[in-house]
Amino acid sequence: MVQFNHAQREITLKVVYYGPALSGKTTNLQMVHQLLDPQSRGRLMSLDTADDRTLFFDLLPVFFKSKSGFKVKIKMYTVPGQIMHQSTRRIVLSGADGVAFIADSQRSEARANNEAWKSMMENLKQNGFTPESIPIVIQFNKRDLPNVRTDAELDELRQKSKEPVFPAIAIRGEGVLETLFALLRLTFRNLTTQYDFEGKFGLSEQEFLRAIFKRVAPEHANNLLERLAAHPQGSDTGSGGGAV
Amino acid sequence: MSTTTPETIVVADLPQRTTSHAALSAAIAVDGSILDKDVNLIDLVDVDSFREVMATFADLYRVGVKVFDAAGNKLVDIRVGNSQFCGYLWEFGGTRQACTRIVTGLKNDPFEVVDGVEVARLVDCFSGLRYVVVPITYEGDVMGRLIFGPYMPATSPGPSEEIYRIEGRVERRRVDRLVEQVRRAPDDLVSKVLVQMQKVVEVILHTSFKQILTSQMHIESVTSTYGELHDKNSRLLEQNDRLKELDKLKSNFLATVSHELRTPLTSVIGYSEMLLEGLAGTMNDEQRDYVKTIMEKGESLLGLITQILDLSRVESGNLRLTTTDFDPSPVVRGATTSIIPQATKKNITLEVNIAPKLPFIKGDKDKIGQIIVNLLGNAVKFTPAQGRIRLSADLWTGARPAASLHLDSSGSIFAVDEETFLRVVVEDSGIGIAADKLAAVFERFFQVDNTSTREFGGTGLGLSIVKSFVDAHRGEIFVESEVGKGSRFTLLLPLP
Repeated sequence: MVQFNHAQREITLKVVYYGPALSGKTTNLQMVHQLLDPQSRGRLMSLDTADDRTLFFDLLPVFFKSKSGFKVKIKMYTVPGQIMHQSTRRIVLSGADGVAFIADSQRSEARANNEAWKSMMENLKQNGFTPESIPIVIQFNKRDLPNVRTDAELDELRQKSKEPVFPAIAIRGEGVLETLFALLRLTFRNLTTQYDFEGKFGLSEQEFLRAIFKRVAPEHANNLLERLAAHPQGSDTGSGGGAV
Repeated sequence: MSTTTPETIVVADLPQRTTSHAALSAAIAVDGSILDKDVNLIDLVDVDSFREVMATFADLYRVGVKVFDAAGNKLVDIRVGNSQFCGYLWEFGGTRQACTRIVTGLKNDPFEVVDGVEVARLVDCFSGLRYVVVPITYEGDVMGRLIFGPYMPATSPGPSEEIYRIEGRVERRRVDRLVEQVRRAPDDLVSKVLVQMQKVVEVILHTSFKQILTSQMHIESVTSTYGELHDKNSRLLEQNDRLKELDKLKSNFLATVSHELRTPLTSVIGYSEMLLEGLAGTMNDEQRDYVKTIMEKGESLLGLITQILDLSRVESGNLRLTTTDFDPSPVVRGATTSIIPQATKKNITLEVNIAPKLPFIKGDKDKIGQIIVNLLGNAVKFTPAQGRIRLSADLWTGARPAASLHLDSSGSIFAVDEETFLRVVVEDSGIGIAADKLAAVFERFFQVDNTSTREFGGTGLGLSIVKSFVDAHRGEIFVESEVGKGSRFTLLLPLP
């Protein structure tokens, strides 16, 4: 749950990357770490085991100071994908303000995706969320592998899905920032309807997103900022997927 | 201010405020996850080790270092070179006041924020010395401040005239002599040193934070899993209690029903008997045969019902032993006698070997007799015609069979008490029992041959009742067997 510290003029948000084992949650965070400006993010902390599988989570803090003088911190977490880490997933997911579900595009992983989605819904429920009360974006990762769902299938899923769907090749950084951008925008919108960020803290959606994405690599930045400029009123629902 | 010589590095005595992980976790267990908490500098560094690292910096550059956490607690205070100089200025009211103002500012003044980031600042002392105050930041949070200095800027001509303006009693010659002990340093060197110190501190904080998170997540995960298991266990226990209750109800029901069945059955048998005795007139041979069959079947039905009643009594905890001291020999012999007619019918040889002068045992005479009758009955049932049954009764001293299984790694038996038992062995040359079925023969309703076309009748209650009776006497019963060769049941009843 978003935390406000009025005395220290701080706002802390939490977003979580959820998904089945080996779907690329950590890779997403590693790429975000690489692509964001070092000044607006901390070190990427990975609590992993010897075989590079995530043991508890990865944590990437992103922060900036708003023009109104508020310090905004976004804590980005991944959860461990393996079945056995159920309790850790629940702890990490607790108090999340937004979730990115990283699915594996390979056909063979369809079942694992479904299981993970079910477990996420279950954990959200146990943490007191309803699916409507928390913004979720979906990323179909590993688009470069053979035997993946086709783009047409993804389009079809996108039509049916309540949540915005993004294709990605996280290992090359493709689709990573688009997913994050959509996630943070939805998260901001959801929170601001409850807490009136602009009225109370003088923080607009534009400033929020610009502060985070302002110094990303030019090819990404241009795309993202253009999109922001094109929809300054926030009318874009963010479900444009690969067209970001 | 201390008045030690300039060569000495003074590590001031500071309160020990190392926070143990245990204390931290206790706090977390109450307040929620570590993930939602802000950590303090003091949680992240081991104060003693941190002080040592800072002392090496101070020693290397001959400049003092102080570290405060965000709440203003002093973690490190290392003074180098300036002690006598500052100590001298501290002696006079005017300079002391000015010094206090500077030091308070160093400790408390907020940092300037440039482009959203707190930046270091230079603080010039009225004496002409200089401090640098560096924010200790982690993940964009200011966790504390590091005060480096004082040093004499390399470009400065010397102590400031401000000293004498503030306090006329200060002696210029003494000041000039004492300031020699203070490190003269170029600002660019200082900034390099500080960058280096910041990096070191950041690594320490990052590493430590990672350790705290790891250990806390271990605890939180285990706690959460434990909670889950605990809930499941409680639910299972509840269900188990309910099942036990149901089981008891069922046993009570069985007891009532068997009792109710016995009453009319006794009449059936009684009236058949009367018919046979001719009390209602003479019957022809065929009629006698029929009535005889009615009576025999009635008796075997009564036997079954009695068994069920016994079992349900055992299960509902209503088994009562009528305990007396008695000579076991006649009981064993009596049981044997009662089985002779059945054995004779199948032409089975019955060998009985009762050791002379068996001591009295304590127990329920009838129940023990019933145990032996049951064992012999089984033996007869499962032994083919012309077979052989041996019964022996004697004294035996040794460990209970269950106890002898508890061997330690060296193979020796420890803490096993030997006892003396009355041992009754019933051995037959019957069909035997397969090894994988042996353990189950004492279970209720268990039949080795469970097929519907099985050759041998019975309810499968006999041995489970035997076992209950044996248990009630704190005895042991076990079976050894080989398929096709026969079985050997051993009953051990402890002597008082």
